[in-house]
Parts: sequence; C-alpha cells; structure tokens
Amino acid sequence: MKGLLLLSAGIDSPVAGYLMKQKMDIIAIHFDNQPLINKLTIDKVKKLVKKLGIKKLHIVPHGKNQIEIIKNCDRKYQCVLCRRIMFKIAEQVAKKEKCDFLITGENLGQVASQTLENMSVTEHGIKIKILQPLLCNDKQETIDIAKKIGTYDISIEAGMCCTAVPPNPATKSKIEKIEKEEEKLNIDLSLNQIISC
Amino acid sequence: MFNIKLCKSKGSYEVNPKKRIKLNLKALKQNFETIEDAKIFLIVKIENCEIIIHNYGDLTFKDCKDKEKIEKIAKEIYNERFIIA
Repeated sequence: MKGLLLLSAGIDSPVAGYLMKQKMDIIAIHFDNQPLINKLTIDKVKKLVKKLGIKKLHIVPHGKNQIEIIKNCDRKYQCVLCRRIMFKIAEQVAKKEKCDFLITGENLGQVASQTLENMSVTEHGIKIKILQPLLCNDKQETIDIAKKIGTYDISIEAGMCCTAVPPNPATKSKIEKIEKEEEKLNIDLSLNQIISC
Repeated sequence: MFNIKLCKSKGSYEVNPKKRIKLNLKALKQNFETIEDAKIFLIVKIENCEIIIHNYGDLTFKDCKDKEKIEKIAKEIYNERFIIA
C-alpha cells in the first residue's frame, strides 16, 4: 500500500509520515507559500524528506492561491479554503501516483483549521481515504517522537510565519458557506504547475 | 517611531510602528516595484529586499538581515505621504 504525505515544515506532519512509513510506502507533497514566505520553509522540507528517507517529493506553488483567497473571500475562512485546495490537488496527485491514502499531521484542536467542524468541511468531497495518525495525540507525545527520529531540530529551525493566516479564523465553518466562498475563486487545480523531486 | 525584531519563527525581521497607522497601499504600489498586490498587503522589492507591507503598518522583510538597511527602508515606507491615518 502507498500513501501521500502532506508535508509541512512543522513538527507534526514529519512525525505522521514517520509513523505511517512503518506500515506502507510513502511519498510526499508540499504546498509552497512563496512569495508570501521566504525559501527557508522549502529548505526545511527538503531536509525533512531526506531525514525521513522519502524518495519522492512533489512541490506545489501555492502562494498565488493564497493571494486569490485573500483578495476574494471572507478572511476568516482563509485556512479552511486553503486546506480544501491542498486536499483537492493532493487527491489528484495521489491518484496519478497510485497512492491509496493521504496522510496528514492533523491534531484535533491544535489550530483553528483543525476543529472537528473545520476538518469535516475541509475533507468534504474528497474521496480518497485520509489517515491522521496524530489526531488525538498530546503535543508532547508528538514532540518526543520528533526528537527521537531527528526531525524536531529541523522543524524548529528558523522559518517564516505564513502571512496568509487571518487574525480571527473561523473555528466552525459550514460547507454551504465555504462552497459559496469557493465560487468567488479562480484557482488552477491542475497538476501542470507541480515540481517533482 | 518603530521597532525592529525577529519574527516569532526567527526567519525574518518584522517592523512594527509604535503607533497603529494605516498605510496607503495604492500610493506605495505606485512608488515601489510591486511583486504582488493582495489588497490588504503588498509584496514589494526595494534595494533588492522583498518586503511584505501590511495596510495596518507592519512590515516583514523576507530575507534582509541588515538592520541598518531595514531601518532605512522602513523610514521610506513610513513617509507621511504613504500614511492615511
């Protein structure tokens, strides 16, 4: 079986990838927020891929998508809208790469986009199975694993905060509202732009 | 007039005005090379530095580590002709 790991430069998703790598083959996908951030994040992601022994990484330019959301949609839905785009593209890549699962480092309640309501809305319409091995983890548990596998020190290296995060993100969005917001967007969901390494 | 400090993630410098101000992004866009216009912020290039200029006054210098240069550029951006309120 094979999984596509949605990999950020944070602490959680590398740990999720490590845990699932014990059970299946893993490749990774990273959504690059440049020019909203600098290149420190992508450098960290490449180090994490190497540390985890992941053989393939797809990089999706995502900064312009974020700007499109910022310009056209209600700011409080930024994160949910962003994640829905990520999942839609990831699902296509998974299909192309013959992956059976998406894997994320989501942890319930850790950030606004990861409440039950928002996660449900984010995944609405996604057909591929999503594995979330850290869903109910205590943060310290995840940090301990990250330290043990050597990803923690990479994840906490200097980086740049995402400029797109709104001041008051919605914690309980509804799919009807999100789909209405999505109608305002003109986003390229094709795989033409993806860089594979 | 403003503070310069490393951002929370320590990978870029932020400039925060001591008093909340509103910046005229339209006027700034006309005066500086603009890479992106997200309506609530601009990404501009000044003296080879990429800077995110928020309409509420905060600046993020993406890669520049030279604090003297940051201060100089911040003063240019905070020129009164670019301040609405």
